[in-house]
Amino acid sequence: MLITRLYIDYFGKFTGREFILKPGINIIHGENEAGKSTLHTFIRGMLFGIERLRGRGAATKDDVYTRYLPWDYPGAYGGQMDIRVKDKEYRLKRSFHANDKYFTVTELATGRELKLKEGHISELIPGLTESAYRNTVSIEQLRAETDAELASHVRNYIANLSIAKHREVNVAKAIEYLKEQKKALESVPYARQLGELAAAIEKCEENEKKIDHLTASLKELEEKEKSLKEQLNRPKSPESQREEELIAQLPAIIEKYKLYRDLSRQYSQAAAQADELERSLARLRQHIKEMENRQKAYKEGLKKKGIIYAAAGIAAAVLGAVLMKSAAAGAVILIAAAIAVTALYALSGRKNAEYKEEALKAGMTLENGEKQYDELVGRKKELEDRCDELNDAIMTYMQEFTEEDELTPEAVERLKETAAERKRASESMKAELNEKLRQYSFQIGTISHELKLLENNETELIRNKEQYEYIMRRKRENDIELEAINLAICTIQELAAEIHDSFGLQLNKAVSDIIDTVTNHKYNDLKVDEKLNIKLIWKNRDIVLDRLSAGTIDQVYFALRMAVCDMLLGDEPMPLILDDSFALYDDSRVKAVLTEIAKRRQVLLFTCQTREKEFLDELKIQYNHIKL
Amino acid sequence: MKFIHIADVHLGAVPDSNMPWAKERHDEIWESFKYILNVCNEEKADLLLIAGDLFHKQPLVRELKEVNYLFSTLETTRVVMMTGNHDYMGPRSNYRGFKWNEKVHMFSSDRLEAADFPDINTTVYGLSYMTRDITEPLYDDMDITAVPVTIVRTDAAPNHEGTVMGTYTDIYKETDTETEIEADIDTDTVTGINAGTVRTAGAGRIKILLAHGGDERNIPINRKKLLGHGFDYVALGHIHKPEIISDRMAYSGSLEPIDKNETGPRGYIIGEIHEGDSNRTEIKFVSCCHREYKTVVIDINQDTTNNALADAVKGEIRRQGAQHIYQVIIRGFRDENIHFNKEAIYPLGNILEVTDESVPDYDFDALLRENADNIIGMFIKRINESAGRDEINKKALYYGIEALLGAKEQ
Repeated sequence: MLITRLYIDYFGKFTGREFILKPGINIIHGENEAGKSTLHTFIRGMLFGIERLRGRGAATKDDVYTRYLPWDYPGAYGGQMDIRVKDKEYRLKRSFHANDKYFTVTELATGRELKLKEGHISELIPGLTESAYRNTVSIEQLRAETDAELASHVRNYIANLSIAKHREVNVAKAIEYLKEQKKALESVPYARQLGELAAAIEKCEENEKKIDHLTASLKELEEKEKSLKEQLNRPKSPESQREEELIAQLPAIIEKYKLYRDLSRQYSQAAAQADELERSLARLRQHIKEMENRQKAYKEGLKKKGIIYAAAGIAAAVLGAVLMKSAAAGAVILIAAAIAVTALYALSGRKNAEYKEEALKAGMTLENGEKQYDELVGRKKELEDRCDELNDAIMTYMQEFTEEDELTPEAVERLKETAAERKRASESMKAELNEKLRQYSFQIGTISHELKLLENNETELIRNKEQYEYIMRRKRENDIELEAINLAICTIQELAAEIHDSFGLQLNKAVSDIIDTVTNHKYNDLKVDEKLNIKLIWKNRDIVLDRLSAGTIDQVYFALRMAVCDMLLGDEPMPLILDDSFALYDDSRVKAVLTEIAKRRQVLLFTCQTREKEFLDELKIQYNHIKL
Repeated sequence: MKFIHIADVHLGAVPDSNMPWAKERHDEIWESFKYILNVCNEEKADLLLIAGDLFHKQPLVRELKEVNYLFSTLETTRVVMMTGNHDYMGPRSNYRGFKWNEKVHMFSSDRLEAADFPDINTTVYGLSYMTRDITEPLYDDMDITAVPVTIVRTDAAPNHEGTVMGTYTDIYKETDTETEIEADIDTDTVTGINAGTVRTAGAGRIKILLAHGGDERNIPINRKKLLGHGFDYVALGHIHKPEIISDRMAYSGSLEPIDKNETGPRGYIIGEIHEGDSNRTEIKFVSCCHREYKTVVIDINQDTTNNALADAVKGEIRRQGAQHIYQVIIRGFRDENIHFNKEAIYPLGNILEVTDESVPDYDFDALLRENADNIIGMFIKRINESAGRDEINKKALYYGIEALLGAKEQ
């Protein structure tokens, strides 16, 4: 922007005053109180307007509005300012009066009025805000030091690169937006879902292996079951059939044995009886024999006796006769003897009859006895036969089981035991087989059940795999989006950092250059950070600004402001408006500064001194001189 | 001799398993299968060739029983089938020991064998998958002269596994006018006998190969070699897309599309082999699927709003058929401030997926010009210069511009 003309209707002490300004240095020279500050303020007011302070501020002398309100014609409080922006001439017209405010910008070439949306000069000159102006373009007396506002402008600039309002981009906001989108994309727990599915798939595949395993076991068991059933249902081998039959016969054999015992007993009894009978028969026989003998002996005796008697009788008779010399005596004796013999015979006859009866009785008894005996023997034989039969049968049977020589109760016991054992054995084997069969059945049942439960495993596996593929695909798409967002975020951040860095570099360079010139090469290395804190580097050491003289500090800030001004408003080179800024400078520094600012497009130098003019003449620098 | 050729039925599959129509599609596959059996009856076909993957996975016993029952309803047709890589006959497969009815012959060995149908003068060669993957190209160099042959007749009494033994005692040899078969009546199969050289000319048996494969993990197939074997027809399975390779070789494709990438019609192949001096084969593909997968591209511009998009989708669905399953792709340059709501599209029909490939209508040149000195311009330049995938860069550009423009101070 170049200010070409100022026309004041009424402002402060000026009424109807025109000033023509030229490019390059314009020295506006006026004594104190001549109106330098007024003009200065007018220019600012033309650009930005003047607000009357409200309330208590209105009474203070800081209230710009009141200060410059013309005493004579307050209604005409205003003026015109002609400026050149990018080769176009514009006329700014403004009225400051609170009751009749207006601000117009007219393009002089066409006479067309510019429509300003908000009636602000920054619409014409991007970035030209009052605070920017006050901190960069307009350098008032003893206010070279930067204030916080400048720092904030710089910061914003760093963040946005361009101070042009309609092109300002809030990088932080953009990044925030992208980060939120990123968060939304990351919120889908693909990794977790995939993890879960992978675990499920693994489980299904394990189950598949299990199924294979179980099916093999099942087939094995079914085979075993089948063969076992066959075994059980097989028609009994002749041996086992026989065995069974044998064992089945045991009770019968036991009965037989009982019978055998019984019969044996009977046989013994019978034998004993027979024996006894035999004995008694023998006795009887003996007895009979004795009797016979007795009888015989008796008979003999009798005979003998008889004979003896007879003899004796005879003898006696004879004797008697002899003796008694009687035949009668002898006959008597003989009769006596004959009676004795007859008596004897009569007795013997009874005895004989007795004997005979006895013999008969005995004979009958004997006969009976013998018959009985025969019977008994017969029975005994019968019994013996039967016992033998039984014995044979039992022994034969027993041989199947044990080695026995004879049939004893112990043997029978052993038989019983052995038979029982064998029965037990065969039964237990059967039971074992049946038990095994039951077990197989049970196991088959269990396995079948388990297989049934796992029936849907393959379906599930397939489904899970499909789902996994699907989610994988989605995740990949998501990842691409995330990659893109990340790239965008990174790039923006990188750019912002670069801008930041480049700004830093730029600023450092610009300020260093200016300082270099202004201090006559004394200081030429500065570091400025985004808070606009300045460090001078001198002989490789950081020197905080405070260590320097006030003049030097002033120069540094001056240089800084110029550099920043150029950066912030670089699009449109702005005039520099200096209001007695060099009061503290020594001559050589003033010269240096003048040389520096001569490079600029336009400088309005308000001064009450003449030395600037003199120096410019000396330095042969062109200038425009305006006297207030 | 008339035949129907199908493959890859995938009974039991539930396509699009997490979508609302999943169960319906599962049932439709069974319906299609039953429909084919009807076709066999109506066309009075002699053979139904099933080239593998009848089931989607190793079948359950009850599934086998259902299918066995359905096969029993065939009137004149006999079934020749093999297992594929999905329903392979593994050690625990229920195919083992399953008694098919006498109309069904199933190859149950992983070595080539043959089923001979004397009453229709046809021998079908084939093998079955016993494992999921077979990487050797078993069909390329086959010697079909030393292949066990099972003779299938329906007039003799069945004695084992549904196939019946013939009582031929003649030598099986190729003569100019007829073929005779030598069989050892004491054993179940005929082995080691010259089962006839394959002849491409001359009267002879109709020779058909039933095969499943065509990629590197499932029997790679060299088509030229296969054609050179001289079969009257090669019934191929495994590739779900039907493809007629020649009048003597074809993939029938699946009966219904199983996966969303299987677009296009699906069905069966019906063919006839005319015997003569040289057998002549005629085949034709017939579509019979209940529905197809279709991709619909909706072109939009800056004037397209969400409702306009929805209407466009509805229109397309109506035009092409509401029973089909759609994947919608949105393309074009949309108004910068409009975001298409994908969720609103899904309920408009059987929509499997909506992909939004549209991008906001940014005039990047203008943006670059207007923002040459600020971060927007720098961003555009930086992204365009960045290495890496174009796809990512493009998306990053749009993301960044949207964010930066949105963060512009007004």
